[in-house]
Amino acid sequence: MYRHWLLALLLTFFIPASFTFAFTPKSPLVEKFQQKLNKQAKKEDPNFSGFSAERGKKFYQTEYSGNKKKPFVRSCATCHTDDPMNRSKHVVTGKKIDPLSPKVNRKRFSKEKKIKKWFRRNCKWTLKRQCTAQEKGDFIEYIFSL
Amino acid sequence: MKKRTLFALCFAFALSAPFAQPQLATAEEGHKDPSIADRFSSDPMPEEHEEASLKDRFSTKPMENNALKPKKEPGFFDRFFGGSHEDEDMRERQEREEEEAEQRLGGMLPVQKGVYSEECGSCHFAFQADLLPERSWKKLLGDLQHHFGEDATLEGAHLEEVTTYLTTNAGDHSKSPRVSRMMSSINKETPIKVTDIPYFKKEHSRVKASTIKREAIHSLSNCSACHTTAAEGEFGEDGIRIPR
Repeated sequence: MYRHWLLALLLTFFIPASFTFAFTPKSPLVEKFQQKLNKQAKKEDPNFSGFSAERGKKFYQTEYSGNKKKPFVRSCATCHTDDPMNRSKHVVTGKKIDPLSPKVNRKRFSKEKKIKKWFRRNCKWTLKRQCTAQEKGDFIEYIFSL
Repeated sequence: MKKRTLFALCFAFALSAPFAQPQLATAEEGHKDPSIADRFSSDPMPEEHEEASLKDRFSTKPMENNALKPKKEPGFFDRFFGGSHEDEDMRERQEREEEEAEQRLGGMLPVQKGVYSEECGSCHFAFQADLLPERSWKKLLGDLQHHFGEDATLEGAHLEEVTTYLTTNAGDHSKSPRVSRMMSSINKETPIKVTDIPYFKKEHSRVKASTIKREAIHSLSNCSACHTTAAEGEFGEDGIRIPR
C-alpha cells in the first residue's frame, strides 16, 4: 500500500528534475514567429523540412570573415560567447550584453519587433548580409533547446 | 492499472507541475555579474599611482588644471623675499578653489529610458546628448550606415525620435558649466567622437594607453567602466574608480 506513495514521492522529485533544464519552453509569440519563418523558408527552399537545433548550433558557431577592405572574423559567439546563457561584452565597444537565452534572461524573445530588429542588425554585422528564414528558425530552435 | 496507482500518479503530477516551470529567477541569479562593489573591493588605489594621480590632479599639480585661469607670475620682489611661503598659501587656496569649482561644474543631462537608450545604448554607452554640439549629432546621424565602421541604420520613426532628442538637448543648448567648457574647447570643427573634443582629451591626458587596454575598460568610449556614475550624467572626480 505504501508503495504507491513511495512512487508518488519519487515522481514528484525526479520527473521535474529531468525535464526542467532540458529546454526552454517557447512562448506563443515565439511559436507564431517560427510558423511565419517556416512558411517563408518553404518559399525560399522547396526541399525545406522543419528547423533543427543542431543546424542552429552550427550556425551560431560558424565564423564569417569580412572582405579585404575590412578583414574580421565574426560569429554569433563573438559577442554572445559560446554559451548563450552567459553574460558577455560587445567585442568592439566593451558594453555589457545580457545573456541571450530566455531561460536566463526573460526579456529575450519577448517582443516580435525586437526579435526582428536584432536579426536585421546582427545578421548584417556578422554575415554582412541578411539571414535566411531557415537560418533564423534554426537559431531560435537552438536557443530554445538549451 | 489499479485505481490507487492512478491516483498516486495524478497526485505526483499535480505536485510536480509547479516545479516543471523553467526556473527563471534562480537561473538568473546564478548568472549575475559580481556587483560593482565586489569588483572593486580589492583595493583600487595602488597600481601605478594612477588613480592617486587622477584624484590628486587638482591638489598636487594645480598648474595642470590652470590652463583656463590666467597664471600669476611671481613678481620681482617675490623672488627674493618670502616668495616660497606665499606660494604655498596661494597653492592651498587654489586647491580649495579648484575643488569647489569642480563640484560646481555639474554634470550632463541624464539619459532616460526610451528610444535613444534602447537603440543606441544597447551596443555602446548611451552618450548624453550634451556631450556633442548639435551640428555633430546631425553629421553623425546623417551617416549611420557607416557608423564607425558598422551599419547602425535606424528605422524611420525611431531615427526621427532619436534625432530630435539629441539635437534639442545638444551641448550648445546646455547651461551646465562643464558642458559649456567642453563646447567652448571646440573651435570650428564638427567632431563626431566625444573623445576628439579638446576638453575631453585634456581631462584624459593622464590616462595611460595600457590602462585603456585593460579588459574591463576596453575603450576610451566605455565611459561607465571608470566613471561609476556616468549613466546619471555625473563625470566628476568623485565617481572615478579605475578597474584593474
